[in-house]
Formats: sequence, structure tokens, C-alpha cells
Amino acid sequence: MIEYVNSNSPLHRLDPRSKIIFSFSIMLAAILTSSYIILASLIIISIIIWIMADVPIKKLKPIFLVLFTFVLMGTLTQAVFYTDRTNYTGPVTVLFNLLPYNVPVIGSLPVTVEGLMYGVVFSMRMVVIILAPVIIPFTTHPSDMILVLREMRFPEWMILLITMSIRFIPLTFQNFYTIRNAQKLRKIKTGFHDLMLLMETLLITSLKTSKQMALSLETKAFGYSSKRTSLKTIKFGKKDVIFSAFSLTVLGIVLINTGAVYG
Amino acid sequence: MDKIVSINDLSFRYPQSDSYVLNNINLEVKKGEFIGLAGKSGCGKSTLLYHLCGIIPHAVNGHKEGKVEVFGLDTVKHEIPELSTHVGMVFQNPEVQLFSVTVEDEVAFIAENLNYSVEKIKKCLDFSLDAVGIDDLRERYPFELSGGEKQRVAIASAISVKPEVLVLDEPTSELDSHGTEMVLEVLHRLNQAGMTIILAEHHLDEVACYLDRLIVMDDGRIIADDEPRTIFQDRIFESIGLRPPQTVEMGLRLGSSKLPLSVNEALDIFNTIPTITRGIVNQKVQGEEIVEIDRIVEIKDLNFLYGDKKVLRSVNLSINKGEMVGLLGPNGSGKTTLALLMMGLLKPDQGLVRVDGLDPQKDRKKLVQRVGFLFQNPEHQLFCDSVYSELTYGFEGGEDGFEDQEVIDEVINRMGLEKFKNNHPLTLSRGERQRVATATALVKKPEIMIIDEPTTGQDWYHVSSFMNLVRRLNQEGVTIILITHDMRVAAEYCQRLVVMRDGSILLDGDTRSVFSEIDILREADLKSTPLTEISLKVGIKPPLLKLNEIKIGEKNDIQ
Repeated sequence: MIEYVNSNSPLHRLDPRSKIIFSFSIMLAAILTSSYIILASLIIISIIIWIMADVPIKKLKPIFLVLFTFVLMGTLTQAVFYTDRTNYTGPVTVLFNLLPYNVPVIGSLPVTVEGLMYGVVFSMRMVVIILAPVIIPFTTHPSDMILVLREMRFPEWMILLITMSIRFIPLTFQNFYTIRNAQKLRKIKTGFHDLMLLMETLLITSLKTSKQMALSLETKAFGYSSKRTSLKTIKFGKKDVIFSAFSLTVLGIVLINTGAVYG
Repeated sequence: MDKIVSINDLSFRYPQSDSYVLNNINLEVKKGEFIGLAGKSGCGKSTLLYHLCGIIPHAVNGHKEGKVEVFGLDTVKHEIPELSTHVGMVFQNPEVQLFSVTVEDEVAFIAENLNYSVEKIKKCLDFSLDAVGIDDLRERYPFELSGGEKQRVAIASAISVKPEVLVLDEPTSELDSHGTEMVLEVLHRLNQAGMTIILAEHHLDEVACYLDRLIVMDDGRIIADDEPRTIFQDRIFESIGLRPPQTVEMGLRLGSSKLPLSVNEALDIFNTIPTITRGIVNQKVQGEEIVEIDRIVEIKDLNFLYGDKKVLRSVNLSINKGEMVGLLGPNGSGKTTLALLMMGLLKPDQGLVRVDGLDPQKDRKKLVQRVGFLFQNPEHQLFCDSVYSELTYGFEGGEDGFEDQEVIDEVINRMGLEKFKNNHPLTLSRGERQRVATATALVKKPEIMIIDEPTTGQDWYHVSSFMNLVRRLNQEGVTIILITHDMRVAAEYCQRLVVMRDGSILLDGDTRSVFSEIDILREADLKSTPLTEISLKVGIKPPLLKLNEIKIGEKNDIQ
């Protein structure tokens, strides 16, 4: 669903660490603030960054789908249930009822102005929280992510585990579907017992695959030395410093604003 | 030449096994040799190769006797990383030997692990990418490459630290003709540059002409070690149920004093014996008339999309009852997708599919009772804890399901599974597993069998046993749809061939006429069999498909 898009956009040229700083700063800012204006500004910033990332719009379809679901569900549930909370003490202004009559236990599901307003804030926050971090996998080549992990002194076995999972997980899924298809071709109605049989076969084939992978790794001198050279390195350059400074400034402004509101 | 590998009195057995996989092996390898290693599945080829790169004894345990030295290094005393600078290893399945996210990273992997300096890694990388000819793939994801490209990346990775010996365990068995050709070309080039190659392989058609030596193993022993021609002349392959390259078989049939190892050599022989050639021209071919009874598969304007990718494009195909049809094409051409659509496991985006008059989407319940489907890897369709319960799977639980004990017993007998009846299917050998998988389809007495790549990675003994069974089923009236890369199997067993490429049907006709279209086959990345290629080159059109169609000196055939 989310995969690297090859491009030479300004975002692609950045060090992954500066993109991580950006994502965390924007996400934290969205969590801290309840201001419509600030949340709208954070959404605008995220959209500008997305435009700069040069990711084809069709790649964003699944993201839009997730966003739409969150916005719809978030706004609706908050509009109905926000003022229902036991600790809510504010005013309750009912706009209309979702149900024309009172249903036992759930009532008539009234949509309130206060709930709707909180729902909008909640949804805007979710939009920022989803939009900001997914920019990383779209614009960062997996090999650069591996380099980041290496720079962060992650153990080599853990890095290998991550890289292998990139391949091993799709392979396992592929085997899962093949075995499931084989079952469907012999039995019309499959149930829990068949799923157990499938998992057993999948486990055996996966173990065989991992054994072959382990043998191959042995012949590639993996684990030979605790020190390991790396052909490629990444550098936190001037552009990364500027981008990170911008991200932290946004967070700073939100922090000050939030402090002012609560203070 | 210098001796670089020395094996003395090597015997080996795996833990929990009483029988030895290797029995008293003695072998010397000289620098620059290109050695082929042949033998039936399970004869000990892989185990022998594992000793050369140190996998045994360092990563795989067992009881070992004797000594293995590589460049004077005792493989027991020296660890795998140390040996990896002398011996590179390439496995059968490219999927399990690629770990990095770019080709460049993959090829640099060993050098990085060995803690080489960045400068030295760059030199290794450049050497390797250049030697294998994949510099253009440098930035690509290894997992997105074709099978042949992946295996070339695996080779590049194995030779990156410039080992003197490259050991390969059936590296082409999962590749299509084009992928095989790419890999063998690379091996030839590396050998020409001085690298010693030891290649375990079932199918020697393409590679026999490159070999300096051929070693034949049987039951853990080396039963022959000589020049390929001598081994073929002595009929050693046939004695253990294997099949030599087709050019060799042609030479043997024509009584040639020097057996041809390549198409060009075989062609020379044909050209020097004109009476034979003329005799062949008029050889009458029998038994290939397709009798149209009624259509059992009907596909019209079928389109199928996977995401944004068009996997099938306006496919039109009809198959008659009782036919044996080969579905050919390179990897990714849409063959398996077409088969899954016939079974209703995928939904067409557009078009019509009817199998035995049924709509696979609406009548799957009836369809699975009439159509048997065999997957490429039998392991994927065996889930139960005994062969017997495997055969009854699918009968229980269904609304109108019932166990027909008589049919099950009959199938068990027919497939020779009596002694395995209570064994776990996954403990059986690959050939036995394939028989169990076939049996699971036969218990439903299918009218159609769809068989996906049944010969992959198998020796001729197992291939011919299986294909003879398929032929018998076809003779009993079962319609066979065979998806295969193996052009010799297609030529010898199928009555009709459908050639696919990029989701479209390029050719559809009787086997002989399809093999006549050598240019279209090439366009579909398929390589003709040596016999059909030679036939066409000497002007026999339609070409010969089977060796027994060659008649020697029958001048009276000339009309």
C-alpha cells in the first residue's frame, strides 16, 4: 500500500533523519494543540510538503481512503457521544437527532454543536497525524532507512531481520494464498480446522525457507566480525539542518501558543 | 593445472539417518575447470557441494568421515567466511539468497561482512557487476527482477570477493528458457576468464558443450568422472534413468562417432549425412490428429487486472474435451493467472470463462468436483497428517460430500502409495509428494486436470514417470492443461500448444506447427528443443518433435 516512489524531489534528497524530525514535530504539535487555526496550518504545511515530495496522486488513494474513514467516523462519533461523557460539564446544544425516537440504551443519538466542534478538531488532528509520517516511506529508499538504523547503532542482526522481513513477509503471504487456494480447490466450505491445517503447512514451508536463507547467509560471511564496513553512508547536510530547524520552529510556536492558552 | 579442491574418502550421513548420503567420495578439481555434476534427485549432489563451501560441517551437522581441502585449507578447521573468499556458492532458489534492498547492496554484502575497506568494496562491486553484466541493474530492487536477473545477482554476490571457485546447485531449475540462457552465458564467461565452475544440474542440453568434465553420482557415490562425450558414449546416464542432452541422443541414434554436444555440432552431422536428412524429411508422423469432440473450456475476451497491471489482455481460447494442451510462456506471461481464472479463484475484470459448461464464479462447487489442479510445489497442497487423510480431505464436511472408499483405495494402489498410506505427506520425497498431490486430484475422478509446472527442479527419471502417468490419464479421457517451461516435455507429450507473452496469446496450434514458428517462440523468450531447431535449419518443416521420428537411410521414404 505504501511503498517508495522513485523521484529526485527535494524531499527525496533529504536525510531520512530530518524527515523523521519533521514527522515527530508535526505529530506532537497536532496532539498538543486544539486550535482550529493551528491544526489547519499544520494540515497546510503537510500538504505543501506532500506537493514538494512529487508523489503521484494515484499513490495517495489509499491514504485518502483511510483519512476519509477517520474524518467521517471521528466527526460522527464525537458529534454524538462527546457530550455524553460522564465527566462532561459544559453546555449541550442539540442540533438534531439521528433517530426519530428514543431507543432503549442508546437513546435518540443527538448531534450536538459542542460534539461537532470537538469532532472537527479530532478529525483535523487525525489528518495531521496520518499525513506527516507517511511521507517517510514514500520518499526514503529502504536502503537509506537501513543506513539510518546502522548510524543509530542498531545491531546488525536486527537490521538484517528488518531487511529480510521486507522480502520474507510477502513471500509468506504468497505461500499463504497458494495454500488457501489449494484448500478452496478441494473443499467448498473451509473452517477453523482448515485454517489450522493451513497454518501448519505454512509454518513448515516457512521454516524450510528460513533454513535455506540461513545457509545462504552463512556462505555470505554474515556475522563474521562484530565490525562491519558499509559501502554507503548518509550525511546530515545543510538542507537537513534547515528543514529540521523549520520543523522544530513549528513545534516551538505550537508549544508557546499552547502554553499561552493553558497558562 | 593446479589442484585447488581435494576430497579424500569422504562419507557423510545426516543426523537421525542410518544411511550415508555420500559414500567414499574421492575427487580432485583443477584450476579453471568447468565441471558438471549430474545424478538423480537425492543422489548426494547438494551434500557434496555443501562440503566444498564449508556449510558442512560448520552449519549443517552430521557424521563425516574423510577429508575435504579447498586451496589447501581443511574445511573442518577453517570457518565458512574464510572459505567464502575461495569458494562462492549459489543456490537453486534465487528468492532465498537475496537479502538487500538494492542490487548494489546485495553484491557488496559479503565484502561488507568481511569488513573490507570502502575502496576495496567498491572494487569488488565494480568487478562483479561487470563480470556478470548487470551494471544496469545496480540501483534496482532485487525482488522486482525477473528470475534470470535475480539468479545473476546471486552469482554476482557470490563472486564479489573474487573466489577462485564458483559452486552452483541447480541454479537454472526455476528459470524459464531466457533466464537459463542468461545464467549459463555468465557462467561460460566467468570460466573463460579463469574461474573454476562446479555446476550441479539436471538438464545439460544448454551447458554440455561448455563442460570440461562431467561427474555422475548415484546413491551417494561417484559412478563416472570423465569428459562428457565419453560418459554419454558409455550410456551411463541411461543406466541410472537420466537422459543425456538431446543433441547427444541424436548423435547416438545416428551412430555418430563423435557425439554432438551443441546444436551446431549436431547440425554438422546432419549436413554430412544427406540421406539421413532426406529420410527425415519424409518421415510420416502419426497420432497427432486432434479430434474435435466438444469444447470443455471456453474463454472469450478475457481481461484481468492486478492493481494497475494488465495481466491478461483479450484472451480467447477454447479447449476440446480429451486434448492435452501445453500452456507455454516466460515467467509472468499470465499462464498461472489464466489457470486460476478457470478455477474461479480469481474474478475476471472482463470477458467470459466457461469450464465444462460451468461459470467458475457461480458454480465453483460443481467445478472443483470435475477439475483437478496441481500446483507447482506439491508442498502447498498437502495439509493433512497422513497420506490417507490427505486423500479424504474435501469429502468430509461438504453438503453432498461422501467418502468413496473404493475410489480412494483404487487411487492409492494406482499411485503406488500403499506403503506410505499412514505417513505424513511432508516426510516423503518430492516425487512421492507429487504422487500424493496427484492422487488428491484423482480421487474426485476429474474430467480436467490443470497441472502447473510439474517438472521444475526434477530429474528425467521423475519427470518421465510423472508425465507418463499424465499421458495415461489423457488416454483415459481426462483433458490435460499443462503449464510448463520444459520445451522437451511440451514437444513430446502435448498435442497442442498455446504460447503466451505479456498476458496475450501469441500462438495457438498443434505442437508441430507451433514449434515451426521459431521466431515467434523466440519473441516469447522460449527456446526450441535442439531437435526442432536442427530440423528447421535443415529444412524440415514442420519439424521433428521426438527422437523416434528420425529414420536412418530410408530412401524409399522419399516421395
